Amino acid sequence: MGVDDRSSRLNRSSVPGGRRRFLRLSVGLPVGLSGWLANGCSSPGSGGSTRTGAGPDPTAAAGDAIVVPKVNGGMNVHSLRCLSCAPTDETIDPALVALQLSAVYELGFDGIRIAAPFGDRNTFLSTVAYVRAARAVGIDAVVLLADFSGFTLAHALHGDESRPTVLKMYADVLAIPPEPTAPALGGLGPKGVGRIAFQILNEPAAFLGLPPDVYVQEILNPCFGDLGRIDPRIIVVSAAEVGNKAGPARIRAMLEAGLETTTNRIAYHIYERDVIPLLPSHVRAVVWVTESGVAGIPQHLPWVRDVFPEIRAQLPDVLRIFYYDLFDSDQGVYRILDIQPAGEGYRAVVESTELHDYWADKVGAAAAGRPLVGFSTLIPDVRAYFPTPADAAAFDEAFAEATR
Amino acid sequence: MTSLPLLLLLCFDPNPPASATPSSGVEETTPPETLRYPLGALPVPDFLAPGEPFTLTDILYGLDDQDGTRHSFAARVRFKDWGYLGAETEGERRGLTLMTHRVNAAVFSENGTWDFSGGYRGHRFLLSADALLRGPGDRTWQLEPSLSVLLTSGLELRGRLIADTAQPGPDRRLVTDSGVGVLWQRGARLEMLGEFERSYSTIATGDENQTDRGALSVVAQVGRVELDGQGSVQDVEGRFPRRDYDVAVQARVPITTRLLLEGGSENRIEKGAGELFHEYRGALTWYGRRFTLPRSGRVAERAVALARHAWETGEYELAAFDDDAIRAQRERLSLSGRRPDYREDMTSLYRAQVAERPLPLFGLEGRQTADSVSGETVRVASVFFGVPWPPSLPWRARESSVPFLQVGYQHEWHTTASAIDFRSGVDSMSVTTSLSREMDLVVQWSRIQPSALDVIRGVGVHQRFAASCVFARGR
Repeated sequence: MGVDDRSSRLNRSSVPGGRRRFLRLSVGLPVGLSGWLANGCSSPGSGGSTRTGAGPDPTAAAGDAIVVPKVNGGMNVHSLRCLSCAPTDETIDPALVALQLSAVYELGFDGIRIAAPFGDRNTFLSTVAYVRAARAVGIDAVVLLADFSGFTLAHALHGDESRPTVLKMYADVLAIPPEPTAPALGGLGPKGVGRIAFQILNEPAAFLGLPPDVYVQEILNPCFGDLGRIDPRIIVVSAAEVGNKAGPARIRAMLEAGLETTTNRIAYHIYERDVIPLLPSHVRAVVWVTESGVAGIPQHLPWVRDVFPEIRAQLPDVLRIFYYDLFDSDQGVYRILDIQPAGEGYRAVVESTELHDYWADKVGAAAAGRPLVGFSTLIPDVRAYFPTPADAAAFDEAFAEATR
Repeated sequence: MTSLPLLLLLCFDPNPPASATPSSGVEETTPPETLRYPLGALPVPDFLAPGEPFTLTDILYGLDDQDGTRHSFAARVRFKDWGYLGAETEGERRGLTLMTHRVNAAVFSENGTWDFSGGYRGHRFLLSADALLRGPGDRTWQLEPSLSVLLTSGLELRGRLIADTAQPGPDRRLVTDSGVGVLWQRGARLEMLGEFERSYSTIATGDENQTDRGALSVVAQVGRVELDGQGSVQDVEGRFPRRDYDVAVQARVPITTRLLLEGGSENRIEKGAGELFHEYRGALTWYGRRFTLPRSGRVAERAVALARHAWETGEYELAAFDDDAIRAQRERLSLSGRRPDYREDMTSLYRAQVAERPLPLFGLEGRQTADSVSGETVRVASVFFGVPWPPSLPWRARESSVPFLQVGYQHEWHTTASAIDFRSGVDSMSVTTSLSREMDLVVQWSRIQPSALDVIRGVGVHQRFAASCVFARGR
């Protein structure tokens, strides 16, 4: 219908139906799935693997093994915390967190992008687990400060009184670096853990009705200032605009409104090949493509194999691309894998097998035959990274103050 | 629903279909002296009458209560045969104006900024300049001189500059804007304007954009139809270069002598990226008496004749086709040393204006705009009903009827945040009362639902009330 039909998928995520409150996992994997899900999906002591295929084998214990080489860029992850539970249900199923993060780690991604909605308390808190655990294994976390619906967060970030409160809460809960799970994780944060980045809203014209110049001047600029005072280690990422032909004009309007001086990273979304030459090829900042993907499984591999290099070639400022996405509820569109109940746990079923194998092969090639440390070796129990009562209290306090 | 009453009204239309030439009988059948307004009869003004020594010519009072109550007031007087003096205030903005035969000047101030303008209207050239002194703490000026030359009665060359003593941008440029243009009037039925402009602007990054813009606009009366077209190409050179094309067309088509159909569109396209903006508009208006398009009737003929006469006798005048521009021209010429020569032309033009006065009694309009940069889509539907004076049912309006009351309603549908389809709306009502040709009262009320941006900014549902009273002598 409109120009924004291919706007960001991240704000549209929904959790598919299924089971809830599983504390154990099963690992019945289909043929063709590489080994990265084997141990990664297992709860402690669940044993066995049905790994097949030619991918890397990140099952070795620490010793001469290396952490999985981070060679495949970034991945968009939804903070799935339970299947079919009510929004008011506070359950965070550790198996689901471990399942997605092990996939990200073992497929060699160096960053995740994940939403922490201010208007959805339980999802926000589940994001805490993803962010802390990812960073603990050396993976950067780009936290998207955006609501799935409504204007709660945008309104709070616009207000001069509420904005510092909200941003401080985000920083206090999400930005403190965890202890590394092993030496030489390869992350660029303290002690080799992953860095933290805050992306300020998502596709503001499409999802919030914020014109580009208004977004830069009334939202991003004050957020950038506040975050610099709160914690200068937080990388501020501007919102991207829609990844179709309506996007570049909005990005340009942001740039002409001063975008380069109000953020640490500029973000683009690219969902159409024709958009690439329309985006500014030289800006005075590092560019992250925080969403890029294509609908339809047969197109997945060509998109990553052919279009990603095209993006980097035509937009030299692009240093990182986050594929969209690891898992969502729409079969056969963007996601790489499906997550299904299996026994008392879950299993991951790879849908985009060609793309998965392409990534797995790159990891294998980078490992050069060396054994890889498995995710479950690094993080035997992901609950260690779950939000604490103090985190929940901080959220509640900030929410009450911002919405007063 | 609405077509049935329209058809019925058309059945009562006593006049034959419009012809391409004005009806010579119209003026004689409705001399201005015979018309009755709510305030009574209004004779043809003596346009050359001197002030005694001051004669009030304009009064405007306005009230607007959006974002706090804001009053505006303006008054203007004619001083003997010397000129017009005016004073205006609107909120914090206050100013004085002066117009003589060849010289005009104005000064306004608002919150420490000063805005001066002046002009000299020679025989064949028009020299003018604006000067803006920026606010407290900033003593820099923006200067805008312009020169126009009237080569023939219908051919004008224009040139202008904008200079900024702040010398903005990395190159510390003094001249930030320059442009030339050619205006050609071929009688009343064809007018063309070609312009080229180069401007330099500094974006927030401190970098400079150079914008070249070429535009051509045409207004043509082709038979019974008025066509209006504009096209422009804009090239922006700078850090983020692009080229935009803007095309706008509009047609006004008299279906019968009393029914006017209007339609138009505007599209702005960026090379490679596709459409940035569009507007589509359609309107249907039914009049209580014969309607004449501004470039097709007796008014158009007289306006051209007056302008040509003035040019031939050493005045700098182009033909004007709307009531306000015609009035301003009449005032200028009434200060000329040769003003008695223009009396007959001015009077006959005024009589033609009265004879061809529009009497809109019912109208519908629809409009849709979409801006792909802001992501906002707006649809507008409006309707109005008019009551003539002397009051009567619309289909009983007579040739001697004049506009009296017009009640309008408009609804706007705004869609922002297209991914979530956030909708808001604006309801507006207006009542316009014309007490005479020279005096109007207007009252407007709007109820505005917040857009997505308003919600983020913390703006809720709000209302706006505005009222104004206008007196314009000799309009």
